Amino acid sequence: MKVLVFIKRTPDTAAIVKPSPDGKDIDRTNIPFIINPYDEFAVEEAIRLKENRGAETVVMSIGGDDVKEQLRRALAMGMDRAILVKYPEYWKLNPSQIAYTIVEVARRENPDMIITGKLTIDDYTYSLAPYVAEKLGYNLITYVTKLEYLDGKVRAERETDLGSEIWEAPFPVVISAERGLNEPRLPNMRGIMMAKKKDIEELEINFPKYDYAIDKFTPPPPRKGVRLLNSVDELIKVLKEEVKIL
Amino acid sequence: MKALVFVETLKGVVREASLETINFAKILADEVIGVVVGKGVEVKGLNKLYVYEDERLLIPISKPVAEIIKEVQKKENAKFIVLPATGFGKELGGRLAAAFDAPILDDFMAYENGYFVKGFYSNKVFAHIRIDGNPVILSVRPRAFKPVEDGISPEVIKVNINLPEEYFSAKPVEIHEKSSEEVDVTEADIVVSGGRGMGSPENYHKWIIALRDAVAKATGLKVANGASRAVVDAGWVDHSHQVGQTGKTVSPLVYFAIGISGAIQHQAGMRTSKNIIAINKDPEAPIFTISDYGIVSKWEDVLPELVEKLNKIAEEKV
Ligand SMILES: Cc1cc2nc3c(=O)[nH]c(=O)nc-3n(C[C@H](O)[C@H](O)[C@H](O)COP(=O)(O)OP(=O)(O)OC[C@H]3O[C@@H](n4cnc5c(N)ncnc54)[C@H](O)[C@@H]3O)c2cc1C
Ligand SMILES: Nc1ncnc2c1ncn2[C@@H]1O[C@H](COP(=O)(O)O)[C@@H](O)[C@H]1O
Repeated sequence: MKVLVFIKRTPDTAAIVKPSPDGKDIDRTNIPFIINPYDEFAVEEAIRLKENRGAETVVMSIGGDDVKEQLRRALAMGMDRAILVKYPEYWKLNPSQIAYTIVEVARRENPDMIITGKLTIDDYTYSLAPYVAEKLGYNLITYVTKLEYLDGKVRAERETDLGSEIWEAPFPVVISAERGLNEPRLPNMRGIMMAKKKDIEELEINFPKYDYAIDKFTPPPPRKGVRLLNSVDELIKVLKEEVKIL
Repeated sequence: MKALVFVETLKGVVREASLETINFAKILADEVIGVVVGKGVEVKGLNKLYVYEDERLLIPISKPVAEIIKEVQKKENAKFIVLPATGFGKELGGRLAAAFDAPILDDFMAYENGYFVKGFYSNKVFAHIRIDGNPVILSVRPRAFKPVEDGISPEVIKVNINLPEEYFSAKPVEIHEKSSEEVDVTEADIVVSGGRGMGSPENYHKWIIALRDAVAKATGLKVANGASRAVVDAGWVDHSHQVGQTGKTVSPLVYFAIGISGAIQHQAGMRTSKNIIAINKDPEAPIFTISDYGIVSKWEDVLPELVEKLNKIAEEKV
């Protein structure tokens, strides 16, 4: 069995993110970057599949040399191989272009399973896994919180807006990882040393073009500031007269 | 120009998020065409409604639903395909982007002068995006637009398509539903959230739920209970209630944060709320920096009285 995992380099969840002075991008200086947290669940799941079932595991990302930091971390955690599709300003790619890239790599690698996070926390994109499944004709289970392997198929628990469901799907299958799927491990010393020695395969592809452009970034509109209230009666008055819900 | 709207239902009832999607589509297009899966679903404010019935789709499955939309799109050739940014809508959007080789914008929250506005980086910045194509796939954040209220009853057209069993090879085998009164936090008018400061799961279930129900009765609005990650991780409530970076993004009319410090990852999920009201015993808690109203106090000294007074208001209304 072969598993392909897509990861994205994203700012740390705790990072302060502001528009750049010209508003065309965010200010990228002094931001710590991580593997998109949902993609880390995908990496962990693949490694468990390798440990428990001998799967071959491939991790891929898009970007410049900076993204090798995240690919090396995934290798250090235990992935077998890493592929970097070159596009230095990867944050300028739109969701359809990124999904297309995963499809291109999947066509070369022919995995039985593709796992990625349910969401990228930079541009808040949810569409990668379903896009890839549709293009490749793979089965799809999204927002997965638990995954079991049965004969020729997977059984997954997934979160829905108002509860949970158990789904089954034969291979080949695309999975989008939700929080709860697993606890990603920290790389150990041995893993880090091994990862340093591994090659990261670099690929060039032709990205399809779309009419999609970010004109500018703005800070969120400022809030008006807090007004402290001293009693429940004062709060009720506010709910009546200002918030107008009573 | 035409817009095709996917009308999502939950147990045969049109979701509020879908009504908002229809209303938004009217801004873009002069002809709004709905697609619904189900029996006897009534929706207003559409020019046409394509209906497809199938016992196999009581729980929606994106592969066959995408095929239905492809079939309708063959006839209508709509410029925009608009979906609610619900869990299912966002999944369907990805499929349609692939099917039509189209650009996609998920979960945007405003449309200003031809630009779509979407929160990036956990709503820490807003991106102003121009997108065009044939078609364009859009999913509309719940509560970003008002629901369509009335309007013409659409012409109803049956979709005749044969969906082979292979489209259902990934499918649900078990459903775990929550009680039907529960409102999804993303669709609620008001969210009452509790955090670690509630002290125990018993306190959360007694007082956060009591306040949720009292607010619902006193206002007649849809109210949901939310939570911080700290209490979801501790197992007090399940993850579908979690608000924040690794939970849900909510934009209710009122967000109550009780015993929640307001970590940046929590703010990510609630900072676009219209009114934020915090109750926290620590005057330095970061939640106050983004709140509109605050009470610096232990919740024990606020909630019992607040619940009692709201219940009284509710009684007087009846
Ligand atoms: C990658 C990542 C993703 C994350 N995603 C999320 C997310 O999606 N959502 C989320 O919420 N968090 C998330 N977090 C966690 C976040 O950083 C905080 O740890 C978490 O939000 C804290 O929850 P809390 O406010 O309930 O608890 P605490 O930070 O412990 O705050 C408790 C608050 O209660 C107050 N308090 C205590 N007793 C009382 C009392 N009797 N009456 C009134 N107030 C009282 C205290 O003053 C304190 O402010 C994430 C973290 C990481 C690293
Ligand atoms: N998710 C991540 N992706 C890539 N690098 C990381 C990530 N988390 C931490 N790092 C870096 O990895 C090194 C070890 O981090 P830690 O394991 O958190 O002590 C540090 O240099 C971190 O900056």
